[in-house]
Amino acid sequence: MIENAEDADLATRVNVLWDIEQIKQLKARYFRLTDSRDWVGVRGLFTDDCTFTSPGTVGVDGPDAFVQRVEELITPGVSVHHGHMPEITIHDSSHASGIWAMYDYLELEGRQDRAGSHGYGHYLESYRKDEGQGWRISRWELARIRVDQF
Amino acid sequence: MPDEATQTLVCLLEDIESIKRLKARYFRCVDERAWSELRTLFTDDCTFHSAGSREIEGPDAFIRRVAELIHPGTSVHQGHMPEITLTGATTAEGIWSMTDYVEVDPDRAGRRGLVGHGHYYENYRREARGWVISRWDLRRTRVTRIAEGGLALLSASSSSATPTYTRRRS
Repeated sequence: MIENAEDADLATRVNVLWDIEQIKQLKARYFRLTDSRDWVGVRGLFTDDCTFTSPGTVGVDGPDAFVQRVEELITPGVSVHHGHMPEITIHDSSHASGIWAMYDYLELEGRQDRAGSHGYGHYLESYRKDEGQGWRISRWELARIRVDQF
Repeated sequence: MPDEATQTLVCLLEDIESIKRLKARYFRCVDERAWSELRTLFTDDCTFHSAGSREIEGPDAFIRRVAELIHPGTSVHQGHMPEITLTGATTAEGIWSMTDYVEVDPDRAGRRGLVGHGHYYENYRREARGWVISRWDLRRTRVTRIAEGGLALLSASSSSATPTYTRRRS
C-alpha cells in the first residue's frame, strides 16, 4: 500500500492510510453517482486530462465525452455497480494507483441487441490530488473478465 | 510523540473503522436474527426511513417490523463501498451501497421474497458505549421479487417494469 513503508515515519504512514480511505470513498462515489444518474457529480470525480480505456469507450477523449458515452450505454435502464477488494498504492502525496474488482448488473430499455448483462472485471486506475482539490481519477481503465448478456 | 495533525488523522481513521464494524455487525445481526444484539446498535431515539413506507420511530418498533418482514426465512444482507464522514467529535454520517437477498418461509401471498439493491443514508453518534446508528434511511434502486419459480422485477428507479431474468429454485 506504500512503497518502502518500513522507511517512512509515523506521520507519513498515517497520512498514507488517510489517503487510501479517501480514494476508497472517491471510488464509492463513482459507483453510487453512476447508478443514481448524477452525471454532473460523476464528471467532478475526474481530472480534466483523465484518459479512458475500455472496449466501450473507444474514441472517448476526456471526461466530458466519457460521461456522455456512459449515459448512452446504460440509460434508459437500471444499473448496479459494485467495487470490491481495492489494492491502493500511494506513490507520493499527490499520486496513487489502484486496482478494483468490479461487478455490474445492467438492465437496458428499448435495445434490439440485448436486455442487459452481468459483468465482471477489474478497474486499473490512477489518482491525482491537484492543488486545492481532493483525490480525483486521472486514469481509468476497465478490463473485463466476463460479460453474460441476456 | 506524533504531532497533532497525525493524532487527529489516527482518531478519524479509528472512528471510520469503528463505524464500518458497527455496520458489519448490523448486517450480521439481521441475518443471524440476533435481535437483542441488533438493538444495541441504535440510539434510543433513532428514526427509520424507507421510501414507500411510513417512518418508524425507535429501534424496538423497527426490529419488530424487520422480524415480521424477514422471519421465518433466510436473508443475506451485504454492505459495500462505505462513504463515512465525521461531522463532529461525536457525530458522523455515512452512505453504504447494499444488496439484500430475502427468502421468506412459507410463501406469503405467492411471494417468496426479494433481491434488492440500494443505498443506506445514515447518521451515527458516539455514546459512552461507542458509535451507534442514530438515523437509518434505506433508498432502494432496484427490487426483484422472488415469485413462484423464479425472479420477476418488482420495482426499479426507472420506469421499466419488464421481467428480465429468472432463477429456478433447485
